[in-house]
Amino acid sequence: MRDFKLVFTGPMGVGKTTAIAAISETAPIATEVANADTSVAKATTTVGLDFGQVTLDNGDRLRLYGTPGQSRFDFMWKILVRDALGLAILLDNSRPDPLADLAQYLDGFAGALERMPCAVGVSRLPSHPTPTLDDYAQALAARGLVLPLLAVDPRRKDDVVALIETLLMQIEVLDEEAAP
Amino acid sequence: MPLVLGVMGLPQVEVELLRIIVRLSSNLRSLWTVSESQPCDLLLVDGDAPAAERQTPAARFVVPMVARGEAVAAAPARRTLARPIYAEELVALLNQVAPSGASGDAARAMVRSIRARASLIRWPSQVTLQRHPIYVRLAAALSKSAQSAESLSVLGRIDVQECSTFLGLLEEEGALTWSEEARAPRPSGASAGAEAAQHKRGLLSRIRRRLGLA
Repeated sequence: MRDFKLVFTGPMGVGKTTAIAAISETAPIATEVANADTSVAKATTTVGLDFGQVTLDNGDRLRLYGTPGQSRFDFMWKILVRDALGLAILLDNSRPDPLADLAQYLDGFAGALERMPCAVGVSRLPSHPTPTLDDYAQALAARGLVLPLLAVDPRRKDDVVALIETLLMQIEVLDEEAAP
Repeated sequence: MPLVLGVMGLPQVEVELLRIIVRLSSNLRSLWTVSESQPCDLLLVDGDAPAAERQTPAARFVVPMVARGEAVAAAPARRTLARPIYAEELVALLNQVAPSGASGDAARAMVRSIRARASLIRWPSQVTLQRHPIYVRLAAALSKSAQSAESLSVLGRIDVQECSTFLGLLEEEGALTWSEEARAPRPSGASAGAEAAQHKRGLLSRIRRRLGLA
């Protein structure tokens, strides 16, 4: 039996815990404390990590980790992403500057992104249509990055699974390339 | 060869604005250029469209400029472009009149071999991705490595012609770069690397089954 890992990251309140709960076979284990950040209307926030899992049909486990949202815990990011199969960055389009949020996570995970499959999910697009996904694509291209970009609602399992599928496609082609 | 957006009787400031929009828009499905003198594919006119059509028979489409919220009285359903010009409305108009459709796109893409490989230089526009549910997955594959229509067909378990169409659309919007050399077929030997890749494929299949994707 082996364990594999997918990591979800993104700003506080974006719905990382919710996304993990949408596909985890058990309720996510969260390490939450009272939120001291008054800019975000949220009673609690994750300080360590969120954890959920799905068991595969041969007994292997896919573990789903959510990083703490606040950047003061960014030392955890590198620890969590080590040896992960892929990274999903969740962004909230209702925040004041979601493109700056994107930049923050691209910087924070720059080392991992050189090779690791990564996809970006943007939530609350229906109520906050700008920046558009094309704007995000342009911002990524300006940094020389091509990452899958999807509109997601972290509460919807189908959306979370679609985001993960883009990671699986990247893993598949990288493995094809690495094969002799 | 780029399509030509002609202008007749428009103020110079609007002509320059059109040039900027056409040059900077990433959502155009075809390459366009703005001209004040050439025969054109679409002509924007300031004033009476039928009169302009008589003067410029070379234009395939003649579209009058109207004040925002105002339709052309004689033909309300006729295509118009509203003032002030909004980039997204111009792009939508140009994409409407550009020759497109799956068969045309496929025909253009099929000019290349189905083994010619390409990769993304930026994530495709939503206009392109929304044309088929499989396109997001195919784009995800192209985001990490060069693929051919043939290899995309295997990865996406989809008809090779659909993959050629997709590559054609990406090429049209300038999101693609081609690497001409075809990948040599791999030997089928059971090396350690091949075994690891096989194992990984098994893992991906199990994850997909578990998530309801297979």
